[in-house]
Amino acid sequence: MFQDFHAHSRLLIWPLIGLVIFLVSFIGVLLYVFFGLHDRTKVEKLSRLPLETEVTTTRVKPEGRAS
Amino acid sequence: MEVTRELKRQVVYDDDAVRAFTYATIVWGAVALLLGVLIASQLSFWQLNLNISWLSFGRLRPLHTNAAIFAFVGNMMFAGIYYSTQRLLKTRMASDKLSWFHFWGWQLIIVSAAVTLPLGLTQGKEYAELIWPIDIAIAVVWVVFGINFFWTLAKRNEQNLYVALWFYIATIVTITVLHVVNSLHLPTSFLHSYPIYAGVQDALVQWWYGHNAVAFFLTTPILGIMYYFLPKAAERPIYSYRLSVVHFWSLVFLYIWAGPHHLLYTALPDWAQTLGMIFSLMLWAPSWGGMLNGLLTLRGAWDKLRTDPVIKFLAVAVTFYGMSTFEGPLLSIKSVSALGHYTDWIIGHAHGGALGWNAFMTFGMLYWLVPRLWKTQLWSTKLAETHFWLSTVGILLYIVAMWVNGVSQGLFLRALDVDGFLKYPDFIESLRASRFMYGMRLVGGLLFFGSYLLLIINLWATIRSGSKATSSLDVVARSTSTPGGNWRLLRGSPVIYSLAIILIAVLLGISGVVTSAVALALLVILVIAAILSFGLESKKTAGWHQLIEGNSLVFTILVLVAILVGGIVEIIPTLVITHEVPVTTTAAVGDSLAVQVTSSPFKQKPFSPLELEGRDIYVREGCYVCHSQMIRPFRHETLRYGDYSRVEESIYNHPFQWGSKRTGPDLQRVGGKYATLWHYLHMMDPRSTSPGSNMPSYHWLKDGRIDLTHTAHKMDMLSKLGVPYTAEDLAAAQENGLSQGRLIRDDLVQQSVELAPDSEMAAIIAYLQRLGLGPQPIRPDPPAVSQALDQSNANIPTSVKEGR
Repeated sequence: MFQDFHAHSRLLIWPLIGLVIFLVSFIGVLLYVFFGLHDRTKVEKLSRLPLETEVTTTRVKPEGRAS
Repeated sequence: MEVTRELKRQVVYDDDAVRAFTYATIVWGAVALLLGVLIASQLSFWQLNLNISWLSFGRLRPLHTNAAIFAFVGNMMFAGIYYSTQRLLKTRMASDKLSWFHFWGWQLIIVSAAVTLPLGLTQGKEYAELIWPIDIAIAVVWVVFGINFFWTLAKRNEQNLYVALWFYIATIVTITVLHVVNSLHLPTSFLHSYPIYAGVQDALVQWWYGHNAVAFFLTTPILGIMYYFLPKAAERPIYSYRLSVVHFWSLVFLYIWAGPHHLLYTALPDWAQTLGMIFSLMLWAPSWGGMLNGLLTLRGAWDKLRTDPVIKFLAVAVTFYGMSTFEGPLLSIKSVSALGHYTDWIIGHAHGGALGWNAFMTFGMLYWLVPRLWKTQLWSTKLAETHFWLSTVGILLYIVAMWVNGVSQGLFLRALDVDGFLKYPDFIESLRASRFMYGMRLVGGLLFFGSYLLLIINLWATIRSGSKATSSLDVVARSTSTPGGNWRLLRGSPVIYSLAIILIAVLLGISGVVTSAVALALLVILVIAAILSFGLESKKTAGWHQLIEGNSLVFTILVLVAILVGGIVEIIPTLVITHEVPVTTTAAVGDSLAVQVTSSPFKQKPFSPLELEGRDIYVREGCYVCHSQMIRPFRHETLRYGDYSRVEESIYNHPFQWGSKRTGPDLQRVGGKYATLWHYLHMMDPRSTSPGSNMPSYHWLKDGRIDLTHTAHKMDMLSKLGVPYTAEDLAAAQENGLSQGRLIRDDLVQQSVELAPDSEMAAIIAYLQRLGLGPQPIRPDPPAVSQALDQSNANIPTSVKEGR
């Protein structure tokens, strides 16, 4: 079958290399999560970033750029 | 050494652009949903095509998908990104002018799509139908958006990049790559072009794009929005920041590989199909990690689920995300795909994601955002509650109908009798059996659209009751520079360890037995050393990662590398297929070198001028949205449609037309199956030849004329892409086209039917009659030729046969 095209091609080493890169990257991310992100205070600070409050007013004058 | 300067300042956010995108979301949402209801009605009641070309299903379906993806979700995504990015970075968007260029440019693109697609101006590739000038406009506007975003990142007042921003970075980078690679076309005129890829290459590039449009346009930016708006609405931080890190990197790396699962059992090389399936299955884990992270953010706030419509919408959206990302990998399993592909199951799956995940996230975000943008309260919580329940019931009716239809169609079309022949040989029987559920789908769609009108009323009243708000924040602006920061990142121990492990793993893959054993031992030692090193020097490691999170450039490069790896290793081997697929002529026989690479007993011929024009009409009318041209290697398919499709059969097809859904039968080998008169009558009134069909009439093809004076130019452009048209072919294009048209006319005249030889009807009949007739076996094969072939093959070294 033509679907088997490239079945013996040396080009197929590249998908395997891709898999290896993924595996190494994934292990790297896990190492980071388990060993790099051990500081609870820092993690707490990072996860609270969306919860910062802001001052909201209705518009009373033409808006300017940040001063 | 770190140099830090501190400046106190007030940041005023630019919410005007957010408001503009919010308005656009609401308007285009109505258009997309209305179009969905209309085309669902057309499937139930063919009369609703109204015999008008620009209202026919084949042209409106691409408009519906483009409106839903790029207009509705696109504008919602931009509103969410512009709102959250400024707040997460504690700075205003870098340039108001770029923001407005982005907004108006995007709306212009949408309007252009709304004009061109009904006119039949299309590139014929799903979710990438827009013609090349609009493609260029998309690229320009997207780049402007990217510049504005990364410029904002550069001037931020918050050192750390929150996880939502990671998803936005991945979106911008990946969509740029996908759009550019999939849109490479050779124009033949201002409104028409051919993709540079053909056949299997085009199919792989298209579904690499198509699947990742879902991944990086409909998923990653919405996940970023989830990671921002869900904590805001629940008033509590995300459940696990650690889990979000794993979620992000796994998703970004894995998603890009999954495209080939749209091409299982097709003529795509088997290894690519398997790769697509495996990576799709692996996606289960990060997707569910993200879903659980979202849902568990509501821990301690579940009481709000009873009273707050925002939380209701967001929680159900995240649940649908989980369900869709369970169903997607399930459908990617080859044996499940064998049943579900080409059926309504896929439509149900797509709408579970589009309506359940994307639209519900949009509704949740809008109900939360609009009162804040206009500094007021939501006009009616009860109306929002009603919207929630009606739309939930609407989705359920829709997807259940499609699931039932999908499984039924799959079983129906594969059913064999005791003798091993088709139990239901007439395709139309499966369509008739699907009618009831098409009606149920329409009811679900109407409920969803109707309830959306409640959202419009509610938000309109909310906006009227408030006034535009201006938000500001006092910040201590930190301008931090770390001399040699990028260099520190590159020579950090994680990079060194990773590179060493990758190198040794590659060595392991390509080396002999002894070297492999040594490499394996080294690999184990390195992994242990890395773990010990990171564990013992965790402070140092943390510092290194802190640098990455604070360095948007390095972060972006890492994302780019992650998405490029999967794309390159899947696409490059398939791109070289042109040089190896057997495409031969009888003249090659006897030439030993030629025989080495051209030993196929088939001969691929390019389309004749009239067939080529007919093919362009086939693409223009969107026939591919209901008809496939890809027969899978199953008994029930080969019995029904003919011999299975081969990769070389579509080698000159710019664009490929394999399709993804069969509302009608496969057309790969329809050529010669019916008489010319049958095709004519079928186009004029499909029910005259196929009682029970829901296909629109294409009577306008009879009066439409093709411009054969332009055909030679089209063929010339195709010859530049490798289609073997000769100078003689180009010179005789007009006359050859007319001659073939006259043959069709003469055939019909004998049946008392008048048809102009240069009519669009003649062209499409010529194309349909050609389907399946090429490549043709080189017949007859004289014994001497066969022996010569065998002898030549026997003389070819094994290394040459294997392409080494």
